[in-house]
Amino acid sequence: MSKKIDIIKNGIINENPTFVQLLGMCPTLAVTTSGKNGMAMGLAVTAVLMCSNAVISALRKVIPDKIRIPAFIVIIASFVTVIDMMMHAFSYDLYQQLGLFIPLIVVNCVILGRAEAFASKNPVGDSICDGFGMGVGFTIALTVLGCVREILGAGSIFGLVLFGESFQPALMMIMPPGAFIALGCLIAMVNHRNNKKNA
Amino acid sequence: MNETLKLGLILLLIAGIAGCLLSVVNMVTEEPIEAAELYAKSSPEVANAVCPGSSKIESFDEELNKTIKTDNEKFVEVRKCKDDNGNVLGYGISTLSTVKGYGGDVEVIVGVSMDGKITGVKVTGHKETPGLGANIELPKFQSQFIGRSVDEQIVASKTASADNEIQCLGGATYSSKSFTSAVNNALDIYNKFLK
Repeated sequence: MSKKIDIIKNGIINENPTFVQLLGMCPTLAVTTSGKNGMAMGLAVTAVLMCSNAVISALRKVIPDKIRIPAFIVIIASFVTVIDMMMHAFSYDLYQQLGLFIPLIVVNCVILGRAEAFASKNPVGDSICDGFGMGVGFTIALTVLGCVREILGAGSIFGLVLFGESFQPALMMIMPPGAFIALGCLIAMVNHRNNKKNA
Repeated sequence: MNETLKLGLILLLIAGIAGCLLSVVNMVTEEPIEAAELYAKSSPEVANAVCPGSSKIESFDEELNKTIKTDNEKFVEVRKCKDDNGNVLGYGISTLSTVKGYGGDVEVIVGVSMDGKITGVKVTGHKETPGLGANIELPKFQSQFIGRSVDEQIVASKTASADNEIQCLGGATYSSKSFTSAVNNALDIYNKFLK
């Protein structure tokens, strides 16, 4: 049991997909214009990651090495399409906001990366934990990044206005350059913390 | 040769199962998606946003819709906004933008009262960037259009110095211009067919 907890912790902290492995940068930079968008994207990725890890792990002895990549992609793309249709049907407002980015989860390298590095070599239970840990790590990273950008760039958090009329938001923070700047600062902070810990 | 065939078959099997799963999910979600799309276009909230005071937005006169469609290819539909007692308060004109936004055409419903004033605007479809262009959905931006007369075309600018100008969203000039073009198209339709 403790091994499973270690796997989850590993995904959230030690090998955080965004801050440490620097995987899945495209959605990280593109959707984190607000805390809510970042969180919703993170949760969608978590759902896909857990499902795809579970299935790929279960099929790891059936799928021959030579065709593993196309097989993984088919499995991942199916789950993404399922999530896309579910969201369209049952959460229309969110779909309007994020719909554009959902199909892109297929090519999110966090998912293929974990399929390659973990799910194709480990049993189903561990793989689901890995998917959960990595997904939560990704969600936390995107939510934090989204909140930072939203506070600085729009003066609000999760849509709630924080400051009065006189606050002039730094619009640049919700534009693409702001994504790079905020992400760079956050990664620097995480690295600083890790260096201190290791020293 | 044998191995190639085997690999192909395995891949076929995986893709086949995935296909079956997708068709099942599609069957399950098809109706809710349609309902959600329809609700997003005709719920009482939409009616009230497009034309305050109304609670229904109903189709009428198919012939007229067809005539407008042949004249104006961006036109989608014109409907009547009614209150609970069935009084017609205005028209809800659905149209696509004539100028492309950042992610293609923006679809809006423009409410025009019987005396020729814009009563409300509602975005029903867009693919603009979340957090930037997607802010065309916010009241802060849309309120600039409300109360304007149908007689004058609206211009989206960065400074909004003249009377007929509205201020673009910061960082989203394309989206603002696209949105404005859709409103202007609705005004054209009103002036030509509904006045």
